[in-house]
Amino acid sequence: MARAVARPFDPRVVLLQVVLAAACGFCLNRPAASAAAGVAIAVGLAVIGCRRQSLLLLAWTAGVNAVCQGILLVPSWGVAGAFVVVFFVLRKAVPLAGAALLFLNGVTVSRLIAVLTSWHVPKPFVLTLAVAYRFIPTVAGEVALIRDALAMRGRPLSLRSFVRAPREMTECVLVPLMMRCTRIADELAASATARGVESPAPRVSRHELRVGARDVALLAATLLCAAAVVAVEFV
Amino acid sequence: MAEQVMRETAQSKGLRARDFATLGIFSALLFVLTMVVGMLMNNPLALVPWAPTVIAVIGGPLYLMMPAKVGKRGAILIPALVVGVIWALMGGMFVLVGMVVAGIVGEIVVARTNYKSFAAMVVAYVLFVVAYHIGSVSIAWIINDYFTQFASYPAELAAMMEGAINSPNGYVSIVGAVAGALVGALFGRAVLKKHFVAAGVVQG
Repeated sequence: MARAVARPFDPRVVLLQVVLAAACGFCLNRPAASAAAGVAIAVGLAVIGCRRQSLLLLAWTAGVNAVCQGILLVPSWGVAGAFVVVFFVLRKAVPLAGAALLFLNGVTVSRLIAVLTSWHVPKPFVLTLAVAYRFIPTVAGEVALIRDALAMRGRPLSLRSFVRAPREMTECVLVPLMMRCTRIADELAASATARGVESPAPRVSRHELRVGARDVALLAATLLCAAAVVAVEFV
Repeated sequence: MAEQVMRETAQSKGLRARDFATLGIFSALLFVLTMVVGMLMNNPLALVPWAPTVIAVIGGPLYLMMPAKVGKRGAILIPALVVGVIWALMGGMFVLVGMVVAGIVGEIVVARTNYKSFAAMVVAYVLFVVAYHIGSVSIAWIINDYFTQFASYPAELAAMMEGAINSPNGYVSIVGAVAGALVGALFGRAVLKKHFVAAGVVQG
């Protein structure tokens, strides 16, 4: 017998989580508060179904805090100090990484469009943001194709080759990337037009925006966690 | 009815699906460029203020492609807002503020020339880069308290961080960012003319 699939959480609640996580990245200074925020966001990621990202954030939080503690054990770092301080920046950035993971994995493009449309955000902005949001994860794949092509022609994509011929290498990467992106834009536009994106009729969504009991519970838990993290910072 | 809708759509002077797709994809490329170069140049920290200069040079062709290919109202403002919103959702609130200002002013400047003048696009690009620069560097000024009071590391590292944050490089590098934007715009024009105008992808 097939298991019933739970309705996904309301994207507005997830977006609120993203905003709170990003705000934590700004406001929290105490390492303990930053780590608590990292754990809370990781739990939030697990609850909305992003378990792999949750583990990734937990590993980052634990790893970077451990490294920072290790750095503190050494009395003097000399010139290397300029490099090791980066770990303290990464510790500070734990909630920001959580916000990024929540944003990229917690809200699908169609749900993001549904939310922004329900808030009467202008259509040109909504559609452009949706395309950008969908395209960001694929950029690495596009660059990998160019890297392979360059390697086959004896021009490996490396820092060294950039330093030796910066203009030539930049052009070698940018031009095929831009050509490919132009073609992708045309294909995407043709597909979107076929699905009626240019129709002047009001847009509807198959996603129902409804705050149910689970959403209220998640919202309450999120606000409680935020309050607890703020307490760790200021009390 | 269907014919009327199609006619209305075809006659529309506003942005169309191809324009949304182009702006979205190139905005994403600009965002990824800032992230990748930013990450590569955050170690050692002394390089951080100079990341926008490098980004400005490489990003020139990407930025100029948007008004060149779209050439309609929104070609400057929308990418700035998209990049700003994505940054804000990932913690860069001040980048969004800068992008709103740079996007509106840049759009007005470029729209006055009907999206044809290279000089106007250069002005918009310089504004975009400077807004991004100030937005991202201001994060270091804001988290100053963290390094001076809370990071709790040895005095040697604390002094180094304080020196890096309060160094005049943060202000001097604004000049570097402007210079980078000018070089990037010239590089972008050369790339577009050499490859994309010749291929008929954009108009000359």
